[in-house]
Amino acid sequence: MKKKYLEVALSLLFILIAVLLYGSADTVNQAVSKASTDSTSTYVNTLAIVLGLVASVELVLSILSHPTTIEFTKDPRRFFALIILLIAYVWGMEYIGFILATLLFLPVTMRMMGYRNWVKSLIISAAITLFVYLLFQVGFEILLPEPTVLEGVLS
Amino acid sequence: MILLDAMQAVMSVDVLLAVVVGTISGIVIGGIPGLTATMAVALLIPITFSFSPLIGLAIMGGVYAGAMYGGSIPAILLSTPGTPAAAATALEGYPLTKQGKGGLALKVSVVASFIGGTFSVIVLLAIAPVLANFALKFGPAEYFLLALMGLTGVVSVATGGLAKGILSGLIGLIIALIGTNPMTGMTRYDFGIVELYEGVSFMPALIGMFSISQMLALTGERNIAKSDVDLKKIKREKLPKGIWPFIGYGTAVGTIVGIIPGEGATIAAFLSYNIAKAKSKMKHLFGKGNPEGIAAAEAGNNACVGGSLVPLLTLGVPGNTVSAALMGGLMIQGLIPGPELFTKHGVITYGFILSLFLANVVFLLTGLFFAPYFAKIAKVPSSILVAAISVFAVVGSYSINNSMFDVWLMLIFAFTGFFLDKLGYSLSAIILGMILGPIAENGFTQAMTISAGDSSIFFESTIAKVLWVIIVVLLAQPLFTHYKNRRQRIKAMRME
Repeated sequence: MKKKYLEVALSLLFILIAVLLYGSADTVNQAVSKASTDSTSTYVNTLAIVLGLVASVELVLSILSHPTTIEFTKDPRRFFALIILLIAYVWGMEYIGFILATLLFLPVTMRMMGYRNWVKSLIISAAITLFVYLLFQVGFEILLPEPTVLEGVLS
Repeated sequence: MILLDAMQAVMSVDVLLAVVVGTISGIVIGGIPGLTATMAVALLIPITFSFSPLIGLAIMGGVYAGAMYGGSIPAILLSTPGTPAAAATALEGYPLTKQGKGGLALKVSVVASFIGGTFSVIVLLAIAPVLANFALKFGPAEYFLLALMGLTGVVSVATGGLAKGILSGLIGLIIALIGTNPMTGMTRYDFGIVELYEGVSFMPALIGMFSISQMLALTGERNIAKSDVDLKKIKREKLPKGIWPFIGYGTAVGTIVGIIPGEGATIAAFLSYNIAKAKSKMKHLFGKGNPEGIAAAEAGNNACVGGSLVPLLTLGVPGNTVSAALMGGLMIQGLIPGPELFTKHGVITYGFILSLFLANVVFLLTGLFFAPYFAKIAKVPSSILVAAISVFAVVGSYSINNSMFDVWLMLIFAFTGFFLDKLGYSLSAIILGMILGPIAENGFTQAMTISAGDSSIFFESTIAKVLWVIIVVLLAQPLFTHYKNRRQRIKAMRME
C-alpha cells in the first residue's frame, strides 16, 4: 500500500474535521453568559483553524513526497486474525462472560500466534484465567462480566 | 514534620511490600522486549486503584524505576533492548557479553542505574516543593501556556515530523472536547452516547494505544529475543576503574532531560552515550564493548525517572507518556497534581518520593544478585505474551468503570493508534493532548473571560513571556535540525 495516498486521505479527513469543528463551535458551546460562550467558542475555533492549517501543510507535504510502500505488518494473516479474535473476545464476553470467553480466547490466540502444544496452551490459559479472576474478582471485588446468554433459558 | 510522617508511612510493611512487588514487576516487564514502562504502569493502574493512595503510588513508582532498569538486562545479554531506552546499552553491553564479560556489563548497568535514579529522586525531593510553591503564582493564562508547553515538548521530538506531531497533539486536544463543557455544564460532541457525557476516559485510550497496538506490532515477530544466553558463563566482576565520571555525565544529563517536557529516557540515554563517547580516552572501544558507554546510558535513562516527575507533581504537566500514565494513577486516587499535593496530601506525596529511593535499592540488590535470571523472561514466546497482555488490557480497561463501553473504546484507540503510528503520527502527543486538553481549555476560557476577550492577557506576565520563549525554542528545535540535515544532504550530494 502506498504511504502517500494514505497520508493524503488522512490530511483531507483532518481538514474536514476542522471545517465541521469550526462550523459547530458557536452552536455547540452555548452558555448562559455571553462571555463564557465567546471564550469557549474562541478556543474551539482556534483549535479548528490550527488543525485546518497544519493539515493543509501536511497535505501539501504528502502530495510532494515520493511514493513509498508502507508495510503494516510482516505477517498480515496473524495481524488480522488477532484483530478479529480481540473483537470476538470482547463481543463474546458480553454474552458468555469473562471466564468462558477468556478460556476460549487464550488458547486460540496462542495457537494462531504459533504455539503448537495444545496441552501446554490449555494449562497456561487456565492458569492465566484463574490468576486474573482471583486478582480482580476475588481480590479487588470487581465484578467481571458474567454470562447473560443463558439468563432467559435458566429463569 | 511532613517528611518524618511520610518516612514513617513508607516504612510500614504494606508500603515496603508494595515497593518490592512493584519494582520486581517493573524489572520483569521492562526485561521483556516489546513491553514498555508506559505499558507496565498503564496496565497496573486498574490494579492499584483498589489500594490506599500511598500503596498504589509506591507500586507504580516501583514499576517505573524497575522497568527503566530492567530493559538493560536483555539488552546486555541478548542484544535485545527490553525498552527503547536501553537501545544504547545494547551497543556496548552485548559485545561485552560475547567477550565473556556479561557479568561486568550487568554490574556497571545496575550501579549506574542506581546512582542515576537515586540522584534524580534527590533533585525531585529538593526542587519539587519549591516549584510547586512557585506554581501558586500561575493564573489561568499561565496554565494554558503551561499545557501548551507540555504538549509542544512532545510534539517537538515526534519522529514523523513537526506537522504530524502538531496534528497528533491537536487530535488529543479535540478528543478532550468531547463530553461536558467545563464552562457551561452542557454536553457537546457526544453523539448522543450516554457513556461520553463525562468525556473520553484516557485510561482505555492509554491502554489501547500502548498495549494492544504494541501486541499487534508483535504479530510479525516470531522470536523477540535475538540471541540466547548461557547463564554459567556469566561471572561476577569488579567495577572498572575510572567509570564514575561517566556515571556522573549520564546522571546530570538524564535528570535535566527528564525535567524538560517531551524529552524522554531514550533521548537521555543516547545523549549521555554520545557525551561519554566524546569524553572517553578509549574511543576506539566504543561499539566493541566499552563499559563507559553502558555507565553513561544507564545512568542517563534512570535519572529521567525523578526528573520527569518534577513537572508532573508540581505543575500537573506530564513530561512523557510514563508520567502521563502515572498522572492517570494519581487522578484515580483523587490526587490532583499541583501545589496541594505538597501541602494537603504531603504525607502521600513525600511518601511516594521516598518510596522511589527504596525502589532504587530494590533493583540494585535484585540486579546485583539475580540479573542474569531475568534474561530468561525475555525468552517467553511472543505467542503467550500477546495472548496474556491482551487479556490484561481488556480486563484493565473494563475494571476502571466496570464498563464494556470502555473496553470497546480501548480497542478503537488500539486499532486507530496502530494505524496512525505506522503513518508517523505521535501516540504520545495524542495521549498528552487528551490529558492536557481540559487544563488548556479551562486556562484559555477563564483567561479570556477575565480579560473580556483581550488575548494580550497571554503575553502580560513575566512567567507567560518565559513560557512563550520555551514554546518557541521547542518548536524551532526540530525545524533547525531539519534545515541542518537538509544542508548536509545537499553538501554531500555536491561532493559526490
